[in-house]
Amino acid sequence: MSDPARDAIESFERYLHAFNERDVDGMLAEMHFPHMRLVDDDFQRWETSEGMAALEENVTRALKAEGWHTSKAISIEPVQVGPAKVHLPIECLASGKTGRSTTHSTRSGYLPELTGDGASDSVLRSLKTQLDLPGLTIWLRGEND
Amino acid sequence: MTDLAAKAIETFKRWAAAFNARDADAMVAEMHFPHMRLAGTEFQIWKTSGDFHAVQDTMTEMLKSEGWHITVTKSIEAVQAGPEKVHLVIRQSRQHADGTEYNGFDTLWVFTKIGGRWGVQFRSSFLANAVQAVGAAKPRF
Repeated sequence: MSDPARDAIESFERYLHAFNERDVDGMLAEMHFPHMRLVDDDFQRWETSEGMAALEENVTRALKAEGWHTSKAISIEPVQVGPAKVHLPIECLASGKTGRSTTHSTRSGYLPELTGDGASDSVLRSLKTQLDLPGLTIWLRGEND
Repeated sequence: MTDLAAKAIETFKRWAAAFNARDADAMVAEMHFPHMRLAGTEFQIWKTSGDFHAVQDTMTEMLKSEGWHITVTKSIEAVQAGPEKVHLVIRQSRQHADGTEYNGFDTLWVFTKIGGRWGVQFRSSFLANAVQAVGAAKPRF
């Protein structure tokens, strides 16, 4: 019997494993597109997976520059669950090689959707990231409001 | 976290009161735009406050046609909070005039503090088989 919350958590755990491996294909396998993110107060969106490889190269460089070695989920809690969507608040801790927290902890809301036979992260990773990345569109409030 | 969450919860309560009063100006006052919603698994957007405001009379008529009288908030929990963003997990109940619930649903609201003002900027709802998202567009880039 399908368990959407368990499926969503497993999808996130596969994503996080791929993130730590810096395995773009592994990350993409756990995502849906269009993929949306609310960073601070600006929406960012990737229409397709195109450009994600270049983005992740930049992320890898930035992570190395801050002394990152691995990210670990210290809490994952499905707070709202439906047959095709799950809300997962997650708290992650980024650590350096020594295992000490050298960077920061981040709290993100992942919203995996279930399509076909699996769950994938579709929306709303609230982590900070670089701007001006390939394939990335940002809505600016001043242009729209 | 408590103080930060309190601001977002107060904002939500004002929005909910405005929704029940069908007061578009008051709803818009508690929102930020572009305003995004993930309905089921589909994105919807109101790019400007005008887009949202313009359809509220239609929304009111559609709500009446489904027998809506009031939406009661059954629970609010702040699950993540920062100085400029709060994630609220909410349980809503659409009810008839006699107080019976005809549609209960979960929803996740993301509030941001922009220009010193808290407002809801993103929602992900499990609402189904009901009037919703009137006037929303499918995002185009």
